[in-house]
Amino acid sequence: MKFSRRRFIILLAAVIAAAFGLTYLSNLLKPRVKEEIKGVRKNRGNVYIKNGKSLVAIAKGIKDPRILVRDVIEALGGLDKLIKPGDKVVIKPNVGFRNPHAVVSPLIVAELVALAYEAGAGEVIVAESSVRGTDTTSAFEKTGYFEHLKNVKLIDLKKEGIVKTLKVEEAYKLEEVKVYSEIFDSDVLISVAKMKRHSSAIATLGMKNLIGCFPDDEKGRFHRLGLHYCIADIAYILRPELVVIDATEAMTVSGPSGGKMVKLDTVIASGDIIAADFISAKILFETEEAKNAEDKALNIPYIKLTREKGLGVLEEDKIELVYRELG
Amino acid sequence: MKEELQLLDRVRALSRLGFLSVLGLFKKLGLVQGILAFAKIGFICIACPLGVLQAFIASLFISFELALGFLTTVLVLWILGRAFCGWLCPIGFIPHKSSRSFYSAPLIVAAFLFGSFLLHLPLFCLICPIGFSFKIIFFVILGIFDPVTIVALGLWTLIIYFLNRKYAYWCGYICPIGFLQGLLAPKPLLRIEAGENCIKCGRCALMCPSGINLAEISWKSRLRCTLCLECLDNCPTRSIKLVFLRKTVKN
Amino acid sequence: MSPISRRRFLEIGFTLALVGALGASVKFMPRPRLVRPPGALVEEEFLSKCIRCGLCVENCLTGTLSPAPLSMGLAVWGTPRIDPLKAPCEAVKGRCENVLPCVRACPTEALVFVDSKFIKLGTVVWIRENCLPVKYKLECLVCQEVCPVGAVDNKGMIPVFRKEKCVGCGKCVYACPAIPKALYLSPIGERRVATTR
Repeated sequence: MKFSRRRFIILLAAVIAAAFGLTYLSNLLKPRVKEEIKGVRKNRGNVYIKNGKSLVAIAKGIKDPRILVRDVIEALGGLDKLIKPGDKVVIKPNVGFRNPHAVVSPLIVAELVALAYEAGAGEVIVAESSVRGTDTTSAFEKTGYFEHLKNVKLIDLKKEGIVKTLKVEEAYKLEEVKVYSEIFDSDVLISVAKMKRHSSAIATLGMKNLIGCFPDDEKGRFHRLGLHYCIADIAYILRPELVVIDATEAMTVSGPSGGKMVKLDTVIASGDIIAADFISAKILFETEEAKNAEDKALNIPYIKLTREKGLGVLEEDKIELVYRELG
Repeated sequence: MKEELQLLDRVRALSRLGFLSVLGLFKKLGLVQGILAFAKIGFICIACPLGVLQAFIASLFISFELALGFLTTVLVLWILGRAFCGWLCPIGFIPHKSSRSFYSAPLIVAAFLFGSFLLHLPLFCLICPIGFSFKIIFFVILGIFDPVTIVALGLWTLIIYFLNRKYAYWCGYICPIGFLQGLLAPKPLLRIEAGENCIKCGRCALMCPSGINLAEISWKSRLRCTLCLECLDNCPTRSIKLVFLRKTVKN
Repeated sequence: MSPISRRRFLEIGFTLALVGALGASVKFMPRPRLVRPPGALVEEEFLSKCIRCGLCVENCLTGTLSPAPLSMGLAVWGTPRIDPLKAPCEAVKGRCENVLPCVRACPTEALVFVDSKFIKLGTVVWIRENCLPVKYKLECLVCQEVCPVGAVDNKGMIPVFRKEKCVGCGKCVYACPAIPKALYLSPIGERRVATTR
């Protein structure tokens, strides 16, 4: 290019401006959804009630968890009591790690998907956001979810999830929280948890499982604000209509990534999230041969806090236990 | 006096811009990995010859992929000569005039190779302006904000601008990578030659930013030729031609 | 001395002085110790082979590798380092175990394949004062939750780090919810590959 000082300075300024400008623009163009909503998830409450008491179904004694799942759902009254034709059903299983012992068996989730479609669901999706630092898709792969749920929509919330901001005035700590809209906008939410001990939450069951419905940076915040208060808050905000606990094997003594695995061949289900967690925690402590299993379960802080909020019951006279030994 | 942009200048500028855009696009699509020091398209490796030399001298070792990249680049140089310098390299955006002074490129290459040997580091690669210019394109495409590299490139642009204006044409006399490219392919298949109608007026030497007189060309002066085609454009008898093998490509 | 050759002498001298100054600054400026990708050679050999091409960074599955910025020194500018604040390294008991895409991508063999049993990228360092159960009596132990090799024990809610077991993957650092973080990854204790010559 022939010399022209003015042209050159203009060109130089243009190139530098373009470099800064383009990078700034490409950063801006990243999609940022900011939808603010007041209130909690619209839920149908507990439809599995008999004589004014919360039903809790337990089935045990068979190796095949699919039969156990069918049994507990039937004992509760079937999914058609809960699901209306065309509903969007979201199943949130605990697939927090790549270790198959630390996650819900994919067979149980597969069976629930089948049952949901049988009951007339319009769309059933399986969604999860694994523990921070673990790639959810890799967890799905390593634990057999892709293998056993071939035609099912498996959603890696960390990659595909769209975030909504909620404002919840009545929360203990989470007056403002970000949640994945796929979970929040569901018609029916089913929390499927693995029966495990937990290093900071004591036990991870139906309520703690809901942590995987929130983006990673919120999960860290829960620990900073007070884990048990936040678990109670997320149970209040999301209030799943059904909780299924995978106790085919329980992780005892320590958890949630590793512990002493004990075969129980049991599945528990209930529409009452507190009853489900309370009964499951009791069973977990009994498996560890604790002398005061019921007290220990009662004293789990998030169970006490959710009971205060009236999200369910745990008193013996308010629970109807349906216990079936199949083997 | 206001200088006018000539057609050839515009074509070259467009060519450089086009190359950068295509490279950026390929990078975004994941078809190209790495940067010009070492880049991979599928299984084809391309490596900067100065980078490979420095890596070899710094570690006294050359890996298979690096050697492959080096050979591929040498092959391209044997065919196209220093056309990269004249038509693709972003440093060519910086204006220059035809002047000549100390041919510092050989000294620079020797000094940096010696420094690489002593320090066990690829010394020139640490500050290479061509490397920076490509890195910035990739950062822009990938959305990475790195102000330090942008400032470093801005600094280099000013330095090369002043060198071009007051001292010597960077691409022809100073750039160590350009010099090495010439040295590795002294007789490329694509070259400039003066035809029978040459009247030895010396106008090509005046127009050439590297000061090459085609009537008196030697292998040493051909090293500086970046195939910019200024001489071809301005020859009064139109005797200069661009040849490939023995066939004339352009008059 | 005629004016032309004196000028040339000055030009040569100036060029050599510049290169010399650059070399001296690179040699004598302090170099930071960085946590390198798995399979990295010992530092001096690594820096002599790495051509700062960024192929390892591009092929990293988790996104933990990033080029070191200029502020860390000219000698290491552009070389890859593990940044657990961006993502952890999954070379040990993770997605990259026995695959090591960073090593596969490296064209100059600055990174070489190593058995996953051999890999120790560094060691975690615990900053007690920032730890949530220590500072605020909150329930945490996320570090224990995410550790793939069981290097974190506990005394009540307080973590106890077994440094000999730690492989330096950075999962605990990444997951630590404390602000400021109570963990960082130090290259101390790292295992590098000795010279391949």
